[in-house]
Amino acid sequence: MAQLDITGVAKTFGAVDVLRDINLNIRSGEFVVFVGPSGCGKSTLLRIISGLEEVTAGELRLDGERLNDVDPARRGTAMVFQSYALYPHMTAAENMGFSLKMAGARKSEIREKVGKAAAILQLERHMDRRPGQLSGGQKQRVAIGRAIVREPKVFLFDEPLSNLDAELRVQMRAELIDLHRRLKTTMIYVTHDQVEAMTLADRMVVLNGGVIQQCGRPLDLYDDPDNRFVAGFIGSPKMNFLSATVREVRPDAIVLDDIGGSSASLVVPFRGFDPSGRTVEIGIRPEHVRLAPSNERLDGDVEVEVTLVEELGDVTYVHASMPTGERVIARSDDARHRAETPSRIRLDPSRFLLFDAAGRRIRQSGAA
Amino acid sequence: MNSRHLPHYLMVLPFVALFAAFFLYPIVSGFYYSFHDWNAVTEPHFVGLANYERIVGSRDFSRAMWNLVTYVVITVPLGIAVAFGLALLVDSFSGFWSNLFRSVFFLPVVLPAFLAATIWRWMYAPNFGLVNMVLGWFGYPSVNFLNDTDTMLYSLIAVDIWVSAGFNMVILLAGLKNIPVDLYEAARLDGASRLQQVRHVTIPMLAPVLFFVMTYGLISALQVFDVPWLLTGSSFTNYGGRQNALLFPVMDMMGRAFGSVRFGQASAYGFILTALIIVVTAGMFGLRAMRRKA
Repeated sequence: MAQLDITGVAKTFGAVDVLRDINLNIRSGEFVVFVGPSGCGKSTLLRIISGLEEVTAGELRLDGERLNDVDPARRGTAMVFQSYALYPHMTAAENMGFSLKMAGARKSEIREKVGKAAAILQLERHMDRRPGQLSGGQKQRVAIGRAIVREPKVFLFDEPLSNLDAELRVQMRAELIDLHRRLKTTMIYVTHDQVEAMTLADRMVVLNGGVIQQCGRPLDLYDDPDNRFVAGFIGSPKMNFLSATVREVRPDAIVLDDIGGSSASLVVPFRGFDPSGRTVEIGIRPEHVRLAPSNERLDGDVEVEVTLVEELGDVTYVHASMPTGERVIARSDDARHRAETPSRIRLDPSRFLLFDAAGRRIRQSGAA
Repeated sequence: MNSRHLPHYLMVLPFVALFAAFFLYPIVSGFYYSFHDWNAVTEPHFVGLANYERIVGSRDFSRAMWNLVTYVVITVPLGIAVAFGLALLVDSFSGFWSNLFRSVFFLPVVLPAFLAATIWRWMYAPNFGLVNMVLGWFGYPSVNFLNDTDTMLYSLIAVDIWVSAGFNMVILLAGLKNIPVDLYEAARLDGASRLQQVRHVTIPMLAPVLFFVMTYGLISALQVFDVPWLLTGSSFTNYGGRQNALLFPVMDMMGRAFGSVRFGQASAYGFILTALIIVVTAGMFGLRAMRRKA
């Protein structure tokens, strides 16, 4: 059991509000990822949980026990740092056993626990080496091993893969998923990389400006974002946003005009639209925008100017400019395109997400 | 010589000329005179190793070496410990207080030696000196710090630590600032107390800086001269304080040169000291290499 409850947590540094009214319940054994842009407060929240930072207001409870005034070493948490924070003068084994040594454990106990952690992480051959003699991936494993040895109730990871190259990052991601499966311990992971967040998380917490924007399963956040920030932050390439005017409101649909300044008019399935909202912002993912075949013209097709073509092999992303100057990215699975040519895109209205002027999601009546 | 490189050689010529005139020539001529009896007026007279034998066999040399060993063994570790403590203190503050403490502790370093010695002669004065005044408040009798053979060496050590602590503190402080904060945070999460963090993080991480400070301190201490010379009010004919309690090799060398006008012996003394410094420094590097291998 390791249920972590965060209630009304706020943190200020001088006059700056870094975190505001954070409320979160993390279930036992859950892999939760805090994700957001630089400065959103995700690392501060992790450091508050670890005890390295104190809260300005609010409360933390682990399995019901209030953590606010508990020493960082006695909280039942263990942290893996972005920089690894390995002691350079100690061997891998000494690094991993340091917390036990500080706790006054017997040498045999330290040896046994360090040996177990080394076996889990396949580090046995490197235990006598100092950090300077280890590769980035091995250092990261030692840092994780140091956390495992403490047998914490909650693992805290502060952007642990950001210093690794792309290939190693993918490998370490898989290892972390495997580790979580084997240890079944609560893990909280901080990253600004939304791909990392999507692949690792049972539940993602998206932060911006010190406020939780949305919390949920990765695909729920991807498909059903609460606001424009979450919609834009989750997904790569990011979601397209186009301005539009509501021309007509029907019981189960709306008709949109001036989409990105074009003459196109589209009927969007939508129940219970509030007629007062005349201007909306459409959010649509690149995979729901297609380039129209040159020999086929439909009413809703939008004239664009192709500005950039990114051919990635399995997929091609075509960047285009709308008449208003708004940018749109379309995904193409097979076509080859040339930049700086006029073209037409076809938007899928059933995939439209609508946002109001404040960036809030406009939901259909009866929808969650 | 390739004419293409001529401008390069011309550019280094001024340095090479000055280096040869004021560094190489004195060393080579000093080595030559160390085997001669020479008073700077008459022709040098070759005496072989007699100068070296006379120095090593003299009572003054034994006394000076004994004083030096005692002085070095106490001053170097104690001085580094004080400087390390001050560096930790300054490091724990930030902004105004950090700058203030750093400036205050560094002040003795920029004081001329004669001024530092004058201040401390006044502080140590038997009747009106500050130290005796404070001792008097606690009921202790007055101590003649600079004339009592039991206290003279320790009085000098206190002054030298006061003078050098600021310099060592600045070097150690720079080292402290280079230790990543992450390591302290990791140690804190690992359950290390503040003292254990110093023992297991700060000191090992500062090892290269500590080695530099120790080596530099050792070389400086082996050449101790100005402060004991000034504290004892020495002259070339009368130096070392009461019963030679503050006689040191460099002082003895200066006395033989300008007091007894035996420049050959003084040169030999210089080479004995140089050999001593080289051996001690090499020993330090050797110890470090052995520790690294271990």
